Amino acid sequence: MASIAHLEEEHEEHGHAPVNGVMHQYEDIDQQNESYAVGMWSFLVTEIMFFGALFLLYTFYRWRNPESWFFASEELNVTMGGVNTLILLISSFTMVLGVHYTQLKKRTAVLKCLGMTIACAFAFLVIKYFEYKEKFAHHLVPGPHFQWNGEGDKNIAQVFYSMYFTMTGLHAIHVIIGILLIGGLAIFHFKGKPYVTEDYMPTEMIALYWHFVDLVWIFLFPLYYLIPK
Amino acid sequence: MNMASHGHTKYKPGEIAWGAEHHILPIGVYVKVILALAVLMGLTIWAATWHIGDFKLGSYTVHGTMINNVIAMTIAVIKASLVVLFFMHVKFSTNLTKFWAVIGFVWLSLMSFILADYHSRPLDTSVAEPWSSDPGSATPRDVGGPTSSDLGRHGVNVRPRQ
Repeated sequence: MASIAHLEEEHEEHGHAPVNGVMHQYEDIDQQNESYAVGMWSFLVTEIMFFGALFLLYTFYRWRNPESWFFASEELNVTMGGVNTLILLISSFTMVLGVHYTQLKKRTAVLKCLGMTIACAFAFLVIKYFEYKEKFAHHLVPGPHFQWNGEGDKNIAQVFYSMYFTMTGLHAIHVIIGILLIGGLAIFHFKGKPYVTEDYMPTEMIALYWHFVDLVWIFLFPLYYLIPK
Repeated sequence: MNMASHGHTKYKPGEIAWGAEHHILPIGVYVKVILALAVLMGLTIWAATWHIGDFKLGSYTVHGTMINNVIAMTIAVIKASLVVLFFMHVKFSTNLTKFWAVIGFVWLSLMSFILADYHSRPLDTSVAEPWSSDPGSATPRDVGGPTSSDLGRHGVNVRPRQ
């Protein structure tokens, strides 16, 4: 079998070390990159299902109680939500530029982009903190101390705030994980580790995660802050 | 051995974009996308303030707020598509990656069919016995839900155990 002999010969030549950035189990760099992308997307599919169930629950409650839902949402701060949306969109932009400069192997530019992305993520969390603080001050946190003086059903308002804290809280946890991932990536870039500077895919994968976090917020913002009367 | 025949030396890792197309996107594309996203965000905030009156469509009354919701969700889907196609590079990726990227959203749309169940079930409590009398039976949707007598000490929804 000439082909097997050929493979063995190749194996001896290459060993297990990546050749030109390609690990020995892959045909070429395209196949390697595709397997990276498919792996990351299959993880993102589980994330879509995770958040999807909550969005379904949201749809159900809002469908059943459209008016109380609107009155409950009036307490949310549209300006803060809007600024946060813009911040996340900008952070997605700086993240994709980080991938772009990784492809071009411009390390300083990569570090600047990742730094800006992390700064945006922190800004998002700071604004979120002030929003949550306001809700705590106004007794809008579900539980024994929940108070509702507005129009609409008190219990539905409580359901609204339960969902608000669950979904935005889960999203905020994703933002925190994103900061850790991007921070770790930035450290590897700073140290000039070849597996992130020579191969752009690790940066691309973390960027995919970060864009997903942005995607969730793109839906959360109109669903919680922009409910029409 | 001839390395070129295996494609190893055709492209260096940094020069390759997402398998299907071998180029790096110019920054201009990303700038256009972020500008479009910002404009769409402004549009969705503005559109939420539109007061659309209710109107009749045949025998069915369409609520103005429903139109607001459709506009808001359409804009959100357009924004999401821009992020997925350009920022997440799905537009330039292989078919297998595209498949995986789409399948999650297909799942979401399938899951939303659960709502059809809630929509189509009768709300008349007389159609079935309350669940408590036969725990194994299907429950009409408004049976077992909170009523004013079910509210606990703090007004939290508590269904009494039976």
